[in-house]
Amino acid sequence: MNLDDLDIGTTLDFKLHFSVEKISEYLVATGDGSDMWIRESIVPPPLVSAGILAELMKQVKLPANLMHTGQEQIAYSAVPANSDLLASVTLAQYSRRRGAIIATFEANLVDVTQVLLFRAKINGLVPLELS
Amino acid sequence: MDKYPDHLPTITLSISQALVDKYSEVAEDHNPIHKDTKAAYEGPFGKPVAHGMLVLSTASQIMTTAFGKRWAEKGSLKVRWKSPTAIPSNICTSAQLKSASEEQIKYQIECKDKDDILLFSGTATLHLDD
Repeated sequence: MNLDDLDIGTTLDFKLHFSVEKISEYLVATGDGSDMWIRESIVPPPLVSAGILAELMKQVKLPANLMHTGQEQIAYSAVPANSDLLASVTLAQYSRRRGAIIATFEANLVDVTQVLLFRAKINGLVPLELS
Repeated sequence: MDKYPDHLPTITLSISQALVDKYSEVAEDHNPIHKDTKAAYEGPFGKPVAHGMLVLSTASQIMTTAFGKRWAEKGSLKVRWKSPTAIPSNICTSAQLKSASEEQIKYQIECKDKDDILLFSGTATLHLDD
């Protein structure tokens, strides 16, 4: 599926799971020296966003020249490691403006009891002259 | 406003190709624009650049250092990338108190490279209400 195939309002659902090993690797890869994440067994918020983005990229072939222009994320509760999580990602905006495609995805992350843990908004831009 | 520091301790990070490669693996983002590839030089930035989310991780590190677990429980972040981060780069992320109330504390976050080029800016908010 390509970005062009999605209509505004299309929602993709997928499962997410962050292991403690994954968190450890993430901390090394970002130079994050805090031991809190492992001690408390919680997922760093940017890793939650990166995990959502990775799953989105598995389901939707995003243009190679897509620029990630903005990011919002809101934590409603700590995201636990080693837990089954459910993400719903909706294409909230898709428009052509000033020589570029502007796309916005909005994501909600809930636990297995449907409690909202985390929200993210991902803004992207694709220059049309290069696409 | 007295209760919270005007400036939080800055976070610096050396963005090397090795770090970016490691991040590509963890984030499962293998876009060739993050490597020394033809696609990177022909891409939108004209050179290999680091993942925006890798650079953004420094903003979360600042807030975690200052507020600990509460940041993971009640923190929000809103940023716009202003410039791509070349590989290699040395980046520095800072946070300045913008406002504080009983409900929330807001910090203005900025990330710059060693040439003082703004890489991203935005707001980090810690919600204090339960």
